[in-house]
Amino acid sequence: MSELSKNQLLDAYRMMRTIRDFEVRVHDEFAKGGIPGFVHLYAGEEASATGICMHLNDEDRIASTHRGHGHCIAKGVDVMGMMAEIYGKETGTCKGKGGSMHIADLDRGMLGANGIVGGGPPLICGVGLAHKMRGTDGVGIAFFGDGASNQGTTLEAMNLATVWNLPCIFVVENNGYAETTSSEWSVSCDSYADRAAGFGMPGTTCDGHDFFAVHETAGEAIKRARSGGGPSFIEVKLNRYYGHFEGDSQTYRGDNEVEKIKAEKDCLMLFRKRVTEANLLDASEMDAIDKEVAELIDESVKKAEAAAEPSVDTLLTDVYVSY
Amino acid sequence: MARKITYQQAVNEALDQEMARDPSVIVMGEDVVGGQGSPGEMDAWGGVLGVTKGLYAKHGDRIMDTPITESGYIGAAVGAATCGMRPVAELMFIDFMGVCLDQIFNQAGKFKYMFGGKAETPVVIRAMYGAGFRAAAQHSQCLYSVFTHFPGIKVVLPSTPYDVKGLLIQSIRDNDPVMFLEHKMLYTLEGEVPEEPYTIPFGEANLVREGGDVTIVGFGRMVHLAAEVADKLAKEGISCDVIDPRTTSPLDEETILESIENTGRLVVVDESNPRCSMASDIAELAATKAFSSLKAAIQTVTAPHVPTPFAASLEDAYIPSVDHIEAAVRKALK
Amino acid sequence: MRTANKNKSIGIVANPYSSRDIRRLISSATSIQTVERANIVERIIVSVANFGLDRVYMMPDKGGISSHLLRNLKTQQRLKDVDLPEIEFLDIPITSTAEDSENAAKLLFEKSVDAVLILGGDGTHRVVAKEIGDIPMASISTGTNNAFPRFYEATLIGMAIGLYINGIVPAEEILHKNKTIHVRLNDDVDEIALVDVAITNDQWVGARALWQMENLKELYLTFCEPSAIGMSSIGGLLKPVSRSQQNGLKVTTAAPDNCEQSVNCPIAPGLFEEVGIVSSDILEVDEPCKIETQYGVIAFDGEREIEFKKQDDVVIELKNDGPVTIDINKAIEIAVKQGSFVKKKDKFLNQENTDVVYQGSKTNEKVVSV
Repeated sequence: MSELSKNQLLDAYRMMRTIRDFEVRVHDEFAKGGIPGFVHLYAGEEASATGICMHLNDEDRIASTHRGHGHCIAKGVDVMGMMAEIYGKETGTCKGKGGSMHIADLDRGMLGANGIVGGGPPLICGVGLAHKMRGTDGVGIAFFGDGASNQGTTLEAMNLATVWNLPCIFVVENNGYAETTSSEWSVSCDSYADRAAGFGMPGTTCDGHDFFAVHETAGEAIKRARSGGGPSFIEVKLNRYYGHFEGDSQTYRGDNEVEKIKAEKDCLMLFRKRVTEANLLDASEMDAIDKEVAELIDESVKKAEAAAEPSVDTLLTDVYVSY
Repeated sequence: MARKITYQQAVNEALDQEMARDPSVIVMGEDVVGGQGSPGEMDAWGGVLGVTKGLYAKHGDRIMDTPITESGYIGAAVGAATCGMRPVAELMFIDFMGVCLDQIFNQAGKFKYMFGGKAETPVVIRAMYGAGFRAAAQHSQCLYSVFTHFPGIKVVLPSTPYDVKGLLIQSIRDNDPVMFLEHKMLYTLEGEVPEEPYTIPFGEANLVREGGDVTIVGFGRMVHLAAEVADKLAKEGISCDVIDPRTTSPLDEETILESIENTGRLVVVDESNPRCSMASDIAELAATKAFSSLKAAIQTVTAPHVPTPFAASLEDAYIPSVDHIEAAVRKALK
Repeated sequence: MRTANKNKSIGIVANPYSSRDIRRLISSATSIQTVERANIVERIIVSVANFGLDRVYMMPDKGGISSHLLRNLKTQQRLKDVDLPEIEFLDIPITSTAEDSENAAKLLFEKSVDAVLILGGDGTHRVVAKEIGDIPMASISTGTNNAFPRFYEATLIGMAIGLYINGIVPAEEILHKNKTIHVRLNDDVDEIALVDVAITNDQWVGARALWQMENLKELYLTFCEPSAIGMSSIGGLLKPVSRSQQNGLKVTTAAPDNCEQSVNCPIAPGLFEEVGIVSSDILEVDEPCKIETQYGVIAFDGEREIEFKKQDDVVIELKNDGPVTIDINKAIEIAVKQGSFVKKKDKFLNQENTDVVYQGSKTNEKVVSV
């Protein structure tokens, strides 16, 4: 039962709107051919990253997946830098050397989007271990998908976090599809919460379309971890709007599946509805945010397009600290 | 005259001194304490060959046993390093790299580059390598050439007690990910080791023997066999440079090339299987950068392209011997 | 024990998502694994089939219960020799929400099944009770607080269902009609609760579970037994009201510091909170009353469901129109008394078993002496 102030509600809306508009714009620009490489978009899943990351500060660290833009924005990574990085420009967060799948900002506690499925959970055990050894109350949060939940690294990390009682939270963003294979087919026990039980940690499920449900559940898990209560597991059930990657025609999804979800369960729509009905926020305040965010995204694309690609001199730099 | 301790004791001392000096140094691995959670003796093993024994008594919770979960704890070591800790994780046998390789080469090795320079991952992963223990195919490999291949990783192969202490301290203080490899047959080797902490820089080869007729480059335990051959041939008036690169990444190319320019003849002794090995790497170096100095074909002495056999007779035939090395040197001299 | 009559059917609504919410984090609440739920369903089916069962209508689910059950039925040797009923999955879309239980219950009502078995917590029972009319329900508690269903081994529940649907024991002695609380919002929403309606001043439904008592304002209870956990324990440990009593209880609460009286209650498994009591009054049947709180959230059987504002009109009414439940203990005891389980060489007794001297629970029969 989290009490959120007006400012916090506005921040939450802004966060989700920024992620949504960012992803939609990347989708559009990718289709036009302006963006190199692979992108994996988070549109539809905004309530998860926002509801969870709103509880965090820079000392808390998160690890993400190939579908990492949402987590980056929610963790406070600069939008301008992110867009430039996706365009492969020198002004990018990673100087154009990482691209969409490797955006990271360690200063903001964002350990990177990760191109390896299941790459994040063991790293987050390390974050938990560092906090534990130092006696600080920070937490590590590993975001991963239903696909990664079967990966050995994820299972090993869950075991390790419990055995060492680490302040780590394992969040499976279950959008029902690991690339094209449905999670019902590929997850043996059909329930992530059950898997957590198998590792001796509490497992919960919440509705990823409902910002408030995610925020409240995450709040308790994080509170528990900070106070030495150890790791826990949250399954966030949600849906992605776009394909596994841009270019995926999603023929494996049901007829009108995405349209139906957008019409009934869109997290931004549900948030708006709730806060206006309860007179917590004014529609005009959110409209103003919509406008500001649209301008921000627009500017980020313009700047990214205008920026230069990294110079060839930087090809060999930043491999080692010293060699 | 410094006191003599074994290679194994030198590893222990380096860890002990660095843990005492810097509270961010933590040690983890399977059975490195040995007995965590069990009813009997704590520190029962201190590592499978006793290398880390005694550290628990001195440093308590900063040395920890792990479950058998390499991806988990090697990954945790990498993650903790990104948060500013200095973990020294033990991968018990280099042969187990298959179950945690991603965390090493795709994560630790690439963070700095992929994230545009901001990341620092000062993790050390110690592992045992090498044949001679009759430990058979899955516990006897060398595999340092595989890690040498990866940009972003440093690879260290000390061959003496003096080198192992200095290089381990250097590795812990270094801010990049380091694979620190210890030949299991060298653990009982004794040598002079200063009591105080000291470092040996990476990328600096050690000239173990000096001579003008042949350049022998050896790795790990092979350095000793090469030295033995050099001593034998010295009696016949053949003098050899025996070079121990000590680190394969970064590699002291300068020392090797200078020696070849002087002798014109190269023998590389590498206990690994031959394909894509350090032997082929050094041969490539010589062929491309010292071609004009070469007076004879490059000779490589390696294990054959087979898994390490178990039976004593077979393993002894598998590992390059002083006879193999001697034959190669003589061939190079023709 | 088998009767010739096999035209019997039951419905099963098994919720794969109960006991997976935030109360796993804030208390040491149980979580029953999917495989165990499937095992429970199997035990019930086999137990009922022992007495005679033609068809089972199951709610389909993506949470694993149906798939485990089907797999067991196909692959397990122990089931190959049992005379199993036909298993039919209800033709409803799977939304993986409470809607599935609701739609399943509606269909079961239409099909006039002989009994309905529910695997779930208080929430699932509530949703099914709304749609099931007077078709008797039996319960397996797989939720968090389980204030409504009583705890019994699945096999025994199967036995009681089997005895009932095959007419082996007289229905009027083992069926019980339950109370409900109706909540009407602005005369266009009519929801029911089987145990408790809590009015809190939370801002939103959020993670749904109720555990922070400082936000609780009013509590309306159909019954509140002393040996129960959850919201009803606030009444049960203060002024108990039984399931059969023809009234309920209304309690208004506040912060303990501001009250003359407070109760220390287990509001979730292993979680005790002190709740300040402002007043507690009998809630009469068929007497609607308006709530006092201006705005907040209405929780039904321990879960926040409906957000309401100042302008909304919220009316509470206790009624006797709840679901019909089967008394498991009594059903089996009566059958024992009848000698229904004892076979004397090639035939069943099916007559009063004069060897039985068991007192039983709530029995008002004379003790038979030997």
